[in-house]
Amino acid sequence: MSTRTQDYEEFARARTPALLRSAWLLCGDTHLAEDLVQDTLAKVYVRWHAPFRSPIETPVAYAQTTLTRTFLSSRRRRSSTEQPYADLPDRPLADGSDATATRLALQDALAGLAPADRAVLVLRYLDDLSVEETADRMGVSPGAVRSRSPRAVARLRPLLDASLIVTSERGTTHG
Amino acid sequence: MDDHYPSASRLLRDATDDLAVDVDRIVRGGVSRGRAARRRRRAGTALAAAAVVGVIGVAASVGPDLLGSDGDGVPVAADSGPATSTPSAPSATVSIEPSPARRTLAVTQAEVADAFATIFPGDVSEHPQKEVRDDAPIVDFVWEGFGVRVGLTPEDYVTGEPVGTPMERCELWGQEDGSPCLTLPDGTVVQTMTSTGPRADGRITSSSAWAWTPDGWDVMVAAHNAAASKDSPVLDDVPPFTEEQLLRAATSDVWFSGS
Repeated sequence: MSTRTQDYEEFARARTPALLRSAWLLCGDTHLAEDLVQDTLAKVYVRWHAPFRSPIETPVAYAQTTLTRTFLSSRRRRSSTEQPYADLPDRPLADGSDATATRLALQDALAGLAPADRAVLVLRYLDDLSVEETADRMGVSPGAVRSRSPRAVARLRPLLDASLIVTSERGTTHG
Repeated sequence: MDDHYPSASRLLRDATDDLAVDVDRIVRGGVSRGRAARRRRRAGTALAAAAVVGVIGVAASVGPDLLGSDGDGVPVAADSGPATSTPSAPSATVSIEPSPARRTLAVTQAEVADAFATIFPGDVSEHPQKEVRDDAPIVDFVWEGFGVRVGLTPEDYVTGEPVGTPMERCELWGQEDGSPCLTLPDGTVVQTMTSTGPRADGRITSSSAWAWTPDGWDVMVAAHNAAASKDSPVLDDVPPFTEEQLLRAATSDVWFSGS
């Protein structure tokens, strides 16, 4: 096995858990998430092994960008059959320490968001990227990220600890 | 506006903390798909067959020098598997001889830009090179203000060992979005591609041509519509050379001795 291939597999193993976490939040489904991660790893593999090209300067960012854009691209293709819905389903929340219940509630909340809003949530709040970095990963303007961000978080409000929410509207709490 | 929501970060992390991840299986799947993507070059569909016919036309327009003088002037996509043939697509059999001895380079890394200017006359100036490899030069330079890259690498440059026939190398190293791999009468396999980069990199358009030769050289020539492949102002709508012209450079004899 060449050094380049060994380096790739080492990178892929190290990054797969984080990529799968992002993919699950984007897709809301384990099988779709694994499919998205494998597609991402395949694209990174092709670029990683491309001759005549210098090595990927920032592989983590490259994989993150690939995952996000692959997801958005696939969703654009299906956009005629999938629409975000306006209201959250009335699902009772379990104890916050129950990860499974939290996941189910989160799945419902995310399903009501447009794909681009989901991507903003994942990049800004799971990956802790800045607005500019998020815009770069998505291939959109920082302004688009800024406008989507509050809308996306608003969808999660019923699931959040009201005391920790800070919004531009002074004193706003949610319960 | 402050859009920092610490509780949102915590919620997303908590909800995904104990996701079951079979890393080995996912990585194996990714590698497998990646390899398959690189080998996906067979004209097995009507669409691919139509594209092959189009590229044959492109290659034929390059002229008899490129296509060789001992054939019928029509290159074919070799190893095309169960291709859907069309009445308008001429057929021929390309027999690839055993690999000939590898030619030696006629240019050092410092001479690549000037050699390119013998094919397409113009002012050239080199970018500072990160690495000097006279045995496998990959050179970025500016031709009449436009960025150009020439790569002359032996087939074992990446893997440290021979990779395979020109067609196998095209299927392995070629670009998924490029033209189908096309065999010329001398056994060289070629591919071309034009693409535009992401907005973050300045949406620069690049055209490229690759030639994988029977004696084990992988040649790439690319040109951009800017002074560099990214983060450089766009100078024109298209690169200064067409894919056909780049193909002519990639298959030129100026790079090698004893051609």
